[in-house]
Amino acid sequence: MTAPLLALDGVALGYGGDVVLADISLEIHAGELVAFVGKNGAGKSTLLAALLGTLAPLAGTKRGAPRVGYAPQRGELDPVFPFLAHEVVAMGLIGRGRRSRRDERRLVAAALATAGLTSETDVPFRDLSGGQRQRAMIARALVAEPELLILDEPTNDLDVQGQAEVVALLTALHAGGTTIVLVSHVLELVHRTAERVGVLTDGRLSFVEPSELADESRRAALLGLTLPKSA
Amino acid sequence: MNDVLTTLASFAPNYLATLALGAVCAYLGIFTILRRIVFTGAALAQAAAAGVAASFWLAALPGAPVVLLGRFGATIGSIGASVLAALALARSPRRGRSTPDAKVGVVFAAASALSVLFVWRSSSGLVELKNILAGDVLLSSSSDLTSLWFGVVGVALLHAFLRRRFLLVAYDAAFARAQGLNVVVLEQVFLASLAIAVALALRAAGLMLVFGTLVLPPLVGLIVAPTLFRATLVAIGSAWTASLVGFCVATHYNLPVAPSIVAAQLALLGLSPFAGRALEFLTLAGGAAALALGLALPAFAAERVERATPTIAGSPAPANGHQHADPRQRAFDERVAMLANLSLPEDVRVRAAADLERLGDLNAIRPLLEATGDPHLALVERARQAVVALAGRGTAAGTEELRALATGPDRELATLAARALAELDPAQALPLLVERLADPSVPLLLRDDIHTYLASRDPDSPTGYDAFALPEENAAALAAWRAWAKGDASDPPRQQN
Repeated sequence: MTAPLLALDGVALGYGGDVVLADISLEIHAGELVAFVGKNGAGKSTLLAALLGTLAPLAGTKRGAPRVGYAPQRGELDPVFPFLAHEVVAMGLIGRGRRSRRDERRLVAAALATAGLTSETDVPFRDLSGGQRQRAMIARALVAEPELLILDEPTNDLDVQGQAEVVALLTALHAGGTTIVLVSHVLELVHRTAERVGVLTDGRLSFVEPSELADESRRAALLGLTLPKSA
Repeated sequence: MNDVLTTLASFAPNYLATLALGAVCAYLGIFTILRRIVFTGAALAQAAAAGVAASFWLAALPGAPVVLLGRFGATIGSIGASVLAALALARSPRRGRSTPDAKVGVVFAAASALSVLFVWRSSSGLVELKNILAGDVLLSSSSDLTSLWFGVVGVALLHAFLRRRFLLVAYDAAFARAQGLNVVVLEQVFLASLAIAVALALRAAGLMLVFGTLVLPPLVGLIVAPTLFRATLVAIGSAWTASLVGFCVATHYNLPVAPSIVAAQLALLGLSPFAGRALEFLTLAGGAAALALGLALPAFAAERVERATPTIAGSPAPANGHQHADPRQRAFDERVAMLANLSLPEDVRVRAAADLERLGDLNAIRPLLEATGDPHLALVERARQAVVALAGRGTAAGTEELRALATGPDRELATLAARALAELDPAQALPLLVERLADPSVPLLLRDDIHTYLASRDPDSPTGYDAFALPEENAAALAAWRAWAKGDASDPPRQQN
């Protein structure tokens, strides 16, 4: 078996000495699509920060440092900025080494094509539909040709059409060999796309098969949810 | 039209500085509006004003390095205070229940209060502060304009290297962090660049013009243009167009320049929702014309300088009636004329005294000394501070000039010179001042003022002198003062006025 792209061994994560997640062990292998789920406050963002390298472990070891492309939650972007779609995508090259303008244009065009946004290159980002905006953000994460793509709630606040577009894009990327880690509370997305699912409950991580999320009561038990009693 | 051009040519450095200020503030204003930190810009400007006020407060302390503070204090104070405020306001991990907005409010309130408290007991400081808040770019000294240009070039270079990173941090901090950028440091560097630009622009043009340019032209750009690049061009074009229109209107109708420019900026903003692409074209063309005119003005000035005399609000023609080709000499003549013009408002004359100090020409010592005999306290205080700063600066030539005037034949001027010399060389000046108490050719009020000053230096000084009494009634007191001068004059002052 090949070495994992990224691995955490007995890692504790937290802020200012307070442990949020304890004894986390996981491996991400090339070509995988791994999803993490959990209730609000379960530590999904903390785990993402560790995978992104913006949060150092309090204990344990982290192995591997792949080039990471990241698509944060779409709702955090301020629509007042008058950026065009290609300008947003080009932001993915900032901090990733010097390139000629020509190279930059080529990479941006390729990323937009991958996301199916070639005809929207010069459209203001704020004028794109929700699904198109999310795809543009995935293109931004892809533009620097990362080894690992990390997505935070990629279908949040999207209508059915938008969700379908994003699912189709993720499926295509995964089929093309892209390694993907995503965090989502939309279990339908996780069930349909992920190969492995990491469940965060009570500060711990456990892995389950995606099919286990299909059953409502099993899902509730995994996530520690309390289902309302039927009348 | 020729009159307008001639006047513009007379103030070519000020006009070009307005264009520089317009470019840097409009460019940075795009960031401040997009990031919703307009109030931060106001707080930084207020912090810069507090820094200037602090320099005046320090200069008034006993034993303070008056010369050093007079020369560099205001600039260092304004930059230092605004950069400190910027660092305090930079994005940082949130602690407690405070919000970023509340932090800006705290800085603004603190800076506003400190600005007034620092200068409350210094009447000239109050006038200086008022000048900073209201401002007039025409009265900017060459050193202020030079500092502004250095600031503009510095900010331009910094943003040429880091603009994309600043934009990314402003737009999507989480993504920037994931890209490996140090968001906190970039935030601090951006706000520091904003603080330096605002502080230097404030010294050159006043709060009204700086804050107006930070908000109005960028808004025009963001309303009219569909992309960030074009919005930035339109913002700078609007600022330059408004500068040209404002200068021309102010010149033609004898109005103050800063509010005229801001009014032109407001007019462009008023047109922006309706004019669209036409306004984009208009502002770009207007900006290009304003820049072309600015570049052509020095040549025009050289051609016209022998024939023309500038006339603009608050700046009368030189007292000696002839015009100099050297802008520095012209500025000197204008300030001297303003200082001596009793019909001008006191704050304009105070500003002229400050400008003469900044110009650094020792020939200003005499007219400044004459101004220390003025009935207006703020002018007296500022003019004396300027004399002390000029005379104590660098070479000994200034002090020698002051010594020569203190022992010259004009008794009133000699008394005023001795009074200023007392700040630099009390051993020589105090005996001279004591002798003036007995000199009937010195005006009564001036003798009374000198007596008050001498008494303030020493709580144990002789009593019984009355400037309004007959000479024989003061004989004993004068003898006591002469004895005091022999024993005390070489001691360091216990209390300065």
